[in-house]
Amino acid sequence: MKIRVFWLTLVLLGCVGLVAIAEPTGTLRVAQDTDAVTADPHVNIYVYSTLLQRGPYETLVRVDETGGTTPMLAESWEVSEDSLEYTFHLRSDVAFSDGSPFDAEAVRYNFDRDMGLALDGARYLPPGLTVVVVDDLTIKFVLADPFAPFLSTLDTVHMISPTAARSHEVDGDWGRSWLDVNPVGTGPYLLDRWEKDEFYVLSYNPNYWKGWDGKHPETIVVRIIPEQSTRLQLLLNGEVDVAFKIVDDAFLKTLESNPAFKAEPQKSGEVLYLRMKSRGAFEDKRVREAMLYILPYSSFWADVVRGRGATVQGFISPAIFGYDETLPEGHQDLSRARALLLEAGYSSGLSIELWTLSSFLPIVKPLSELFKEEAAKVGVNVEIVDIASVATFLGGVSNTDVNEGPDMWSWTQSPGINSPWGAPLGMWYSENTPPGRNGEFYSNGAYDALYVEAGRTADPVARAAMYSEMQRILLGDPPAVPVGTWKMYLCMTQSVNGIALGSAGSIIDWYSVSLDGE
Amino acid sequence: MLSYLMRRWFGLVITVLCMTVITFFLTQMIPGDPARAAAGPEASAETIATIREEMGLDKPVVVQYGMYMARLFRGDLGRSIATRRPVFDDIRKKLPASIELAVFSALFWLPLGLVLGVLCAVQAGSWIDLVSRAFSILGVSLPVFWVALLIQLLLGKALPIAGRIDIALSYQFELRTGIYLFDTLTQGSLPSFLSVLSHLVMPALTLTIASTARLGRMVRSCVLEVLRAEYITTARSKGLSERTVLFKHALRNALIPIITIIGLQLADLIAWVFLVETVFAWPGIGRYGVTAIFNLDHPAIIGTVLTISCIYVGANFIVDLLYMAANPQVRYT
Amino acid sequence: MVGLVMLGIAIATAASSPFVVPYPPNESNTQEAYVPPSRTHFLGTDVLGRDVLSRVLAGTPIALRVVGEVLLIAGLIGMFLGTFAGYLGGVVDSLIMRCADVFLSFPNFLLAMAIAAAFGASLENAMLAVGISLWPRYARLVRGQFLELREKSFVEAARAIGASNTRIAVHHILSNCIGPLLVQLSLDAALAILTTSALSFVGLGASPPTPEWGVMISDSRIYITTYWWMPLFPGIAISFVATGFMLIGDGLQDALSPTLRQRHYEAS
Repeated sequence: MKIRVFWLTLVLLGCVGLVAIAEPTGTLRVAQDTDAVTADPHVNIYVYSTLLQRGPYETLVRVDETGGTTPMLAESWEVSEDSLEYTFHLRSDVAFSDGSPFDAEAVRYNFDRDMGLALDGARYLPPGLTVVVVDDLTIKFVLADPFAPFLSTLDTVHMISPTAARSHEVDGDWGRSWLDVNPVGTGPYLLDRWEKDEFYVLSYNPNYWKGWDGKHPETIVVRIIPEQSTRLQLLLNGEVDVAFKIVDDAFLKTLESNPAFKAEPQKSGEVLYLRMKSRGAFEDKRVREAMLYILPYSSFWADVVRGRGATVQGFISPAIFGYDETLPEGHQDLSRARALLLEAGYSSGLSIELWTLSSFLPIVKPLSELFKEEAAKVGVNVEIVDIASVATFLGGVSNTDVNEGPDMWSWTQSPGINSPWGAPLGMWYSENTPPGRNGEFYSNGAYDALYVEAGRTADPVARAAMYSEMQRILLGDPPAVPVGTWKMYLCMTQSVNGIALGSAGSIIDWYSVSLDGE
Repeated sequence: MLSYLMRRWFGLVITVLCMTVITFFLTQMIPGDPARAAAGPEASAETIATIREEMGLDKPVVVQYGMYMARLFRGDLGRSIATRRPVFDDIRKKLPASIELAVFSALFWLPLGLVLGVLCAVQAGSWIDLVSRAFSILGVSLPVFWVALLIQLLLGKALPIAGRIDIALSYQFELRTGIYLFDTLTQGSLPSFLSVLSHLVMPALTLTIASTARLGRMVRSCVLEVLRAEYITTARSKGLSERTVLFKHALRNALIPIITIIGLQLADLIAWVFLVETVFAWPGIGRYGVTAIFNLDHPAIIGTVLTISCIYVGANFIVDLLYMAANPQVRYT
Repeated sequence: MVGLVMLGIAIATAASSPFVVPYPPNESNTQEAYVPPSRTHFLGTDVLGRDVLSRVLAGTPIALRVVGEVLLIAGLIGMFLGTFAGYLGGVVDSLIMRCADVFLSFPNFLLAMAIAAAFGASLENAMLAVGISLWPRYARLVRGQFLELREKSFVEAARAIGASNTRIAVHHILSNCIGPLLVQLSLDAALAILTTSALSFVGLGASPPTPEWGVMISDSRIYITTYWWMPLFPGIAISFVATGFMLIGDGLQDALSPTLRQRHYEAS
């Protein structure tokens, strides 16, 4: 009798305990620098947009911190021998937040929508992709050519509820105007409230298919604070738990020396470039090559950025596939620059206009001033124009007319997927001129050929070799000056765990974040 | 008197109309393509063309102005490119934030400035006067945005440095007037009220320093001038106490130019609110306007400029009325 | 007066700065970046290792140029239009004054921002913008003088001896304006430098590597808590120049007759 009571009590306690743990508690407060452009993940997937979108939305697979692909809405998959067919088996226990079921039809609709809209959300998809519904829970992707990064590309297509999209369709807009601010997906957090340019609130989805065991935050509040120093101060004051985009060395040191906080280095694939439009003097590749030797790279990264970044060997970041350590890194060689300019006929001097967007990354301002100073030593007069408006900046640098906009501009590029094929290497494919990313209107036949070939090659060793070769071509005929990459940190209090950014800079998963209770 | 008012009112309407013209054409001149800005960076040429047509940007400027004015009369300020919401709604939300900041700080600098000015004038030449004058000069010559940064530096550890309220607490009450202090108080949510108050301290302090200094200086010179006037000497020679002289005669007469001074201060105040909102991330109309300019958000720019200018014109009108009420001589001009 | 002394210091600094600066203001020296105030760098160095003292000193001629240009623009436009209005009277007068009203109806910082944005961000455009936002006061002033003195006896007298209208205008009336004009100019001088640097701070003014004080504060804004010397000293410099002008303005006001001030209030 006593033993029975004992076990009963134990079981009861266990149930109570389970119930107690199963509810998420607490609020995670985040400070981000830029607001999401839209809640519609087929329209825009910049990293600050995905921060919001990855609350309510999920993808078939997810690329984790190591760069490997983990199942998400798809449980398992097979790839055919010829690498042209990918068959995915979907989870059966998933529903959209409006109650409609998640199935293969829904996946097919989403890809139709994504490719139909043909906006930022579709940019990593290979051409000639067909989607076939095999049965309720099986979907097949058929590619025209083998495309090795295909799995990580799937990480960029988020699943929207077709019911929601269809019922709010207006004039064939695929439901865009409604889904712009009303996300309906399968994800762990619902968009509760969104005050544009101020903050948004994500609150937990009680019906989320993974359930809520563990220490998940109940709500996530993301505040939009453009000033880096303010974000830092909010973190130090205890008004936020996580601060994004803290890049200044002094700020990072403050956090690193304070035991209540941590600055976790993230594997970032972002590279900083000075890009050049192929017009005027820059039509001559020798002039562009001369630009590679102007900047005092090492003293910039060591003294000005205080070691929170470094040069890259070649054109891409060491964090992504295809990085080749045998390629040369940027170094200053003014005499070589002078010689090249002389050869090209510009020994008497040259004037270029350089645009910077320092509101996005403050360090480009001193970078541009340093570049101007050194360039003057070889007779190149650089006029710096710091543009405050993102809209104006993009209008000039990605203009469909190559003669519009500046001669040179600063640009940071992250790969988007765990392969340089989409970006940055894809940026310089000659057919990607604006509205694509080839704002330079760069064109190199040998490069193009390799690019197309690499897109079709499945064998990773062969692909890596092609990427190296492509970078060598770029070094001889540069569309841009690869300045380097910086160390990206995610700054937070010690009680936050599980938050990480992928190599593209997007948050990997809100569900994995945990907040130690008070 | 009435006809004078009518004429003034009519003049005001014409002025506002002219302002819309100037604002509109200035906005058109801002370099950049608003259709491109609205379409987004990756949009195709066709999308941009479609949007350009939707926004009416392909029509001649005069026609666009006409369209804008027509919508304006219906109360439609257009749709913001950045927030995708009607500009009217945006402004309706942001304006109270700026007004709250301005009025809250006015509660301090108005009396402080007046008292300071009068005190200095009365004690002209004494050390109180000299110290206060030094402070005033500094308060006016220090750039407001710099003072804001300093305050952020000095008080940043103890007080919240950005926003209007702790987000979590903003759920505890309902937005009725948009003036958070009022809303939280009337709905009895004390923690929210305190949070709003603590967020107001630094930006209001910045504004108070600048405004008190300026007002103090002007009031001082005003009162001094009045004190030098003949009727004061007469009053004194009649044997009236200093206090009577001061309050009954001097200040009453000084009131008139002081009203004018406060009116003049409004323009500076608007500038200062803009800068303070930028530094403290205060979600008011100033910050909205600055962001709009950089986003080439034409409807938002025009909406902001017009709103602020109308408020300014309106405030000046009220100042004029007060002036007329105080100074009978002007009424028949 | 103290103000004149300060202004004198400022002018002297401006004139001598190319020779007196300890380090070239625009030359970077990344090894010495982020150095706090020390024996070798009195006011520290900035992000690129440039000496802050040198840059602040080099900013002086720019600041004075800003004041000069803004006041020139505002004054010339204002005086020109004011003369036309006061002299010709009638429709021209109403039109110009209506224009002035409209401009005055805009809070002047807002107007300056809109103009600077419209013309494109640069120091020249910022100066132009601030100048344009200030002309109405001068127009009002000059016109007011015209209206008052027009009727006065010495104008009659001048006409009697056959002086041409232009001569009357320029010689007699304008020369009477000098007093209040100077007062307004000196008060606006401080406003000019403050507004222009505010425009630069917001991003609508000078661009790098110009050592303009507003831009210097804006650039180093995020360092206020860490490398505080970078935004601090340019701010002090702005304040110094603005104070100097203000003191001069005060002095002038005190010196000239009190009735001038009354008119000044009405003219604004």
